[in-house]
Amino acid sequence: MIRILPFLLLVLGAFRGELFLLGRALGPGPDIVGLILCYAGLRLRPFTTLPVLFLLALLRSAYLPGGLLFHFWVLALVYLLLRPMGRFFVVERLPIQMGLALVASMGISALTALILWEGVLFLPARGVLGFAMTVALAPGVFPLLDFLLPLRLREAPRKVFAE
Amino acid sequence: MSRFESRLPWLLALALVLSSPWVLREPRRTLPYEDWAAFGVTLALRPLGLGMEVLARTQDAGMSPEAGMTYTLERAPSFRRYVEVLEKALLPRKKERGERLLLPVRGALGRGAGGAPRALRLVGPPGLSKPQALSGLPAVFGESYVGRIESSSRGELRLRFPWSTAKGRSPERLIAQARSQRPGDFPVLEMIVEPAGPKDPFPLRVALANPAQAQTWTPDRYPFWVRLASSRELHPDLPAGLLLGSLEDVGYPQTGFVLRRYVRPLFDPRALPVVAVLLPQGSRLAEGVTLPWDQELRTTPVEILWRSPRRLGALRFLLRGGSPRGGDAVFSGGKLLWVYDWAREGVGMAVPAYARGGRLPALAIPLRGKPRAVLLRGAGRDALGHGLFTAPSLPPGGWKLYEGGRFFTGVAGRGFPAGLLIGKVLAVRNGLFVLEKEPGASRGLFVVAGGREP
Repeated sequence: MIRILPFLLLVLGAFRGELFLLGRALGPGPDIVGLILCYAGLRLRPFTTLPVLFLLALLRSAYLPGGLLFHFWVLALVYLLLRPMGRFFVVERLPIQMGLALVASMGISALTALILWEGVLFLPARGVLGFAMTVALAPGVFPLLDFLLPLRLREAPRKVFAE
Repeated sequence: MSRFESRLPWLLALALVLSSPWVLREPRRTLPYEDWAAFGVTLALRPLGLGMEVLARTQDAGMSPEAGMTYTLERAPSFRRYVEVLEKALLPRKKERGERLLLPVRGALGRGAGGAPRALRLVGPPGLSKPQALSGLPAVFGESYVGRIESSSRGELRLRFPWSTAKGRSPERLIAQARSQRPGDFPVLEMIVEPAGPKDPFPLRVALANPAQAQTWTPDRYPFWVRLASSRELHPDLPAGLLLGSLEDVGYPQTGFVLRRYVRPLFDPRALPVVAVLLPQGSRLAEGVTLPWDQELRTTPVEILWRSPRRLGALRFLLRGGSPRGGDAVFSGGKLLWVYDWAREGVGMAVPAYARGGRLPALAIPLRGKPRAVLLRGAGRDALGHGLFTAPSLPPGGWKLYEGGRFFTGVAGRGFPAGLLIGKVLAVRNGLFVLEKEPGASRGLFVVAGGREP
């Protein structure tokens, strides 16, 4: 993670990172933050997740209303809600991944909208298209991040026994 | 996975539960040095944008390139209206014998209960020969008595409010009368008013009142306004009739028993842009003193790097240029456009003045009547894009007076000049002041940010 960070920042900077990560700050783009959070909740070790949550909260607090602590609180809450899902569902299944990505994305939007009470405009601001793109991207994001991140940052995969 | 790591989610959950009251109550509160972190994020995400040259069209913004980046608000038509109203409210009336000297407010000193300042720092106007001679003189704003002038050891002029007591001095006691503002034959209360304690809900309390048990809170007679009465012994220099505030009683409304009486000032000390000192009769202190309206602002051009999409409830603008600080104003042509949410190293995120959670010291000018210093709170915008504000210190009965009136900025430090137009009040709905739409700001529009020259 540390090795690829400068490269990642350069790429994000060159391509106007907030357009990708925040989807034009809650525009019609996919919710990359929601996807990363979903992946963190299902695959990443807790030690790896905390800095990821902090970085995402930092990004959101710079561009969106609300302080750093508030955004960290929202992301951590959604992460804690998603984490047990990995035990209840077989997350290798694509529909499960898509469903949980939608839960993560809508959870972040809804919590932010309700607490900040910005006219409850966060959910419609993302739009149906934005949520649909988030769901559509989810099956691709999981293998991509699996490929990019070394094994030691992830939790050991559970053994799934065939019947 | 270590034992500690397996317990980390539980510790995180515990931390969330413990921090939730703080987060839910004040979600916009920032941590120390958070502006540096936000600047770092901007640097990482927009390295190309930060290298752009800031192009300023100075002529359009009414700035004078010859004199450097200075801007005089007098050029703005809205500022002329602001000056007219203030002069009408602050300069002496025909019947008044003594003269008045206007002193602009430079900033606040100290923080008392509720974030209100303990005193205000004033600017001595050019041409004033003996600033120390003003020490001890009373000051007014509109019809409100706002306190007394004192001179610090360094010769700086300050305004001390009636409720704050200077060290080594006894608290000021005032003789006053309270009358109902409703038509009817209601009793007149005569009273002695003194500074309240730190745990009292209002800054002034009634030490003695006659009649002691007259009730004042039923809707047919509330509010009672407290005005100064003349007293040769306690305050011979204060004319009768100056407004102290509204009478607020604490007691048992069912039985009509009053436990304690307080006086709530009808001005917000954070929003006073200028005060008028009442000079003694025959004083020559005001001779050769120019009125404080023609002050120049030190400004810097800024460029919009990014703006949030309109569909987002709160508009946000990433600006670059100058060296602003969080809370500084961004204005163009005498109109307040935005306020910096955070700013560091010339980069900052600005939000509209009506953004939720924002506090704006302002001067509320009704169509008819006296201006009032208030603290506005941003309440977002409505479906049509009009900015919404609440003004908790304005009494509910008087809201309709402000329809068609205007809000101007009061004083909030060096980066937030007084006299900028916030907007015209279109309507007042259930305590929400609906302001006219802000002018559209597109990419590349020139705006200026900065503050009053010290």
